[in-house]
Amino acid sequence: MKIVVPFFALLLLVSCNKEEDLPEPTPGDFDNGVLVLNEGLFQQNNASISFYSNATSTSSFEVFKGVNNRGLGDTANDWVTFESNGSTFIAVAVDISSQIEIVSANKLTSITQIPLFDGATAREPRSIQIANGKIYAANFDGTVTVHNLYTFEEMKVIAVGQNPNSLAVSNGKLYVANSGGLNAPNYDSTVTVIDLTADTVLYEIDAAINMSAVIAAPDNKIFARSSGNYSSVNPSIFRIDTQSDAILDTLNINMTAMKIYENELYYMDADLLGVYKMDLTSLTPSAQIVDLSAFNTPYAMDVHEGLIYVSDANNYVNSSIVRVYDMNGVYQKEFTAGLNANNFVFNE
Amino acid sequence: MLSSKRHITLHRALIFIGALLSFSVAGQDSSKTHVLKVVPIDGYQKESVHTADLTSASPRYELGPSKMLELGIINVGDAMRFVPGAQLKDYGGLGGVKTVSYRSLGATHTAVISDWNTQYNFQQGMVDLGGINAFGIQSLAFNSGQPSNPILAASSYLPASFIESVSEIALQDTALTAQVQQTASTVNQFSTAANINVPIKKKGFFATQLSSIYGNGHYPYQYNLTGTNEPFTRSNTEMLKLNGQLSTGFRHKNSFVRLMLSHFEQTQNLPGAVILFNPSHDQSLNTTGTRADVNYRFLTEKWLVTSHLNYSRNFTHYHDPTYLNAAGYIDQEYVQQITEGGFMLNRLLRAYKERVFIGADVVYGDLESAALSASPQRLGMNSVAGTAFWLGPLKIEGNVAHQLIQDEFISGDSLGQNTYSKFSPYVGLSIQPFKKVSWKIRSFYKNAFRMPTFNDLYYNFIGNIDLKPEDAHLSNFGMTYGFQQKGEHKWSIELSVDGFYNIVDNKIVAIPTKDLFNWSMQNIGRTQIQGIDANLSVSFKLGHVLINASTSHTINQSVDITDESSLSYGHQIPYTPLYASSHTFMIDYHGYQITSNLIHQGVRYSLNENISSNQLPAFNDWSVGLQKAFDFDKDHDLFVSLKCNNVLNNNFEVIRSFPMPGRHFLCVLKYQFK
Repeated sequence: MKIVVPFFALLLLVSCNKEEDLPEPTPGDFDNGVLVLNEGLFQQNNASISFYSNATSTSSFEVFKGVNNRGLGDTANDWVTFESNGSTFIAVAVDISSQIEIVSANKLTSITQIPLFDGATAREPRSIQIANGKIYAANFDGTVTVHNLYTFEEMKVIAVGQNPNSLAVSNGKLYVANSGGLNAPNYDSTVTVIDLTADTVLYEIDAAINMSAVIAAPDNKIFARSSGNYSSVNPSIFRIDTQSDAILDTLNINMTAMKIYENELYYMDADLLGVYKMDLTSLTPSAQIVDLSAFNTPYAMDVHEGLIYVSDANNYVNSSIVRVYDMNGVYQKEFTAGLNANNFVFNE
Repeated sequence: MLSSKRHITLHRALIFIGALLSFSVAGQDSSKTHVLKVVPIDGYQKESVHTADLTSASPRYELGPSKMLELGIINVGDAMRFVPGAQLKDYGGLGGVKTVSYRSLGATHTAVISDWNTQYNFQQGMVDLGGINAFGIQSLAFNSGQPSNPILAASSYLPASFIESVSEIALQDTALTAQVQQTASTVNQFSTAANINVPIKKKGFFATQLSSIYGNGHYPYQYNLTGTNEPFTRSNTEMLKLNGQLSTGFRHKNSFVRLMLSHFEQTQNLPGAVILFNPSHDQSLNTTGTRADVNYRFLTEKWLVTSHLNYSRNFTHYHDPTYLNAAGYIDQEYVQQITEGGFMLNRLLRAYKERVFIGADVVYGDLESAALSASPQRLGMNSVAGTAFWLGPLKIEGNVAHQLIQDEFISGDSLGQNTYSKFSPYVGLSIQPFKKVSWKIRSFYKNAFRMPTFNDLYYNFIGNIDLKPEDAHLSNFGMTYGFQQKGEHKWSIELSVDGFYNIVDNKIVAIPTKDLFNWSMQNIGRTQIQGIDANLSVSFKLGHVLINASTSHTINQSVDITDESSLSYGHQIPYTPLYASSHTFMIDYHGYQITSNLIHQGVRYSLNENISSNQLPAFNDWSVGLQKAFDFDKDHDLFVSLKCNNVLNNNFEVIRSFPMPGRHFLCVLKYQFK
């Protein structure tokens, strides 16, 4: 029996060491840095916001939770900033939790949560825009909901196409990319156009299957992406004139992230594994700016004050790494974010 | 069996240990023939107060019906919480899925063998242990290594480990027996069950068992991510399961033949994961299963020959009434049919479990569903040849098992084929250095694997037809020790300590490929698993007081060694605590028993990376109980038990987003006629 005693003593040691509490997320002030929206994974309730401080060059994780003492929710897909009374706020679309979360950009304190439900059924917001003092959310249940930006009251629910995934505002109109992703292989292939004054549907633009993203460009143009069917139908990009709502150009480029910066379209090319840009009228791709071939999972991209931010989602199951490059594609620095970093807000 | 006086007495424990000793001491003469004759047809020992099987060359644990009642076990999944090295993946609640991961291998590496027959599931590869009622199980064992029970079929030699259960209605009793049981819990779960076993002229028997599980399953829980301490209610958990079984068997000379028929119908709502701020859950699942088994056994002093034939059909209907597609719902149906037959030939040596054997099973199954437009069919052959015998103080076991599988599936307009052929060798050794001291050193090596399931291979969009089998190299080195003191102060002790080292390669995992919506099954994982299991149990009797206590501990370091450049390289794999333990205590005074059981699990991670946002805190789940078996006369027993589960009212999750109930009560009433 002599060998038993030290053995169980060892077990006791091991058990004591593992009884640590969860570390407290860091609360604080979020000036001079980059807020990152981390989508999280389905059913893990781990959507989060992380913060990279330019001053200290360090990342803090789960900062929304640290400030508000609760989770952000499950699967946060999109956010947008807006100004009110001289302060900046962020409206976050939390998809599976079916909430719009309004937070202050510098303190991250929650102003309100707007639940998006049709009776008991979750609408599942995927994309969010602010216009004319209203919050527009594209919901996977085939609607765009309209809420008053100041009272947060629901003003209208507009029926659009199937599983809308993205919104853009241009020329007094709202453009809704309808994916129909949950009906694969029978995808939707339209962009719904909504009048932002009356909040009514004007018409639909026929584009290609699985419309997954739209972004507004200067001079009354939008770029809209079809993601194809991931096998026989390739992705494509449409440039649409928002005066005539006619398709001006179709590009066969697999753009997975798009950003307008100083009158140029920056994008990730998922086939060529790089960041490129193009002039908004000639639409000719530049030489490769950033080589993404060493990334495990190129995921999101943004351009801000002469720097290109690209997130590597690391197979979608590990923490994202955000790598930062100058406009010539020269590596500057990198920082860690949360799970599936998909959007950035740059705080002064 | 229910009588505490009868089953807990040390007398029986002594018989058990005595039996173990007689098995292991080699070179004995007449006792061997004796052992052979008293071995019941299934080869089980009488129930012990201890759980570890000290004779086995590989870790093996047994739980009898009274031990299960003592531990408050109402389904087979619950029992796995007390097996050292086993990690129960428990989604909680009524009808919540329970699967087991033994020494960090996936659930599909653990087979379930009920009444000698393998429970196949080609679609998912694993069996929901929460769905197997503990009522009517007269013996439950968890095995690793080579099956010690010669009656089991060739297929049971393939998996890394298996759960073996034998029901009351599967075996002949010499007298009429009947049991009725009612359970009720404050988490709104109920079960009613009864069985009867009628002997027919000492030549055969007829038995039946009817059981039901029902309730709305609602329970309060707290979820700290919501930022409030207010309790929420786990809902959309209603369930009704009805299960009926018939069994009849006959003996003639050396032959025994048995027919078992079973049918169940289950309707349940699925609570799903708890989603922050979104309470809507309205999915439902209906399942119907029918099964027929014929088993034949021929036993002489030299030969044990078994054969079996079975057929099962399972119908599953999943419905989500609020899915956000154009139809507005998902409605999926699956029909899986499996037919299996085989034989096993054992040449018995000096004792029942000393033998040379060879056997094979042929199994054919198919799955029909719109969700698997490949309509896969699988034809497989599982074969084995091996031996188990004693050479002086040395016990030697070994076998080579082989699985050959041919799948046929529709791919576009043509038929595709997948063929797999895998060997699974096993060798186990145990030695008892001193004849008079029940101390054994044991070790084994096994190369096990698991075939990709129909879902892995053929599920629309997700399946990957190029998958290889997942490979596992398992090794174990350990010791067992047993001691019993005779005389006035009767006590006994059992100890087993095992170190293990496993490598899992070509691990089948689901990962997103093109984007977050396009997941696919891939052979990418590689895991290194090492650890120690230790199990100590003590039984002590002084006058009218009997105490049984046990403690088991597992240290398990299982790390991801897939990709050195990954952020999770070297990290502990998901849902695997570095340390887990269970502790049981029972004191009996004049048939009144007080029980205390504690399950502890250390910190776990819900995803690959060992970072705080993935952390699930350690938890303690402690239950206490009071129970009494009333012997009205020698024919009638009534067992009454009241248990308080999760006494400390801890909030915990075994699986992230599936909160378990807080403090709740379970009442069991069981009547037995014997």
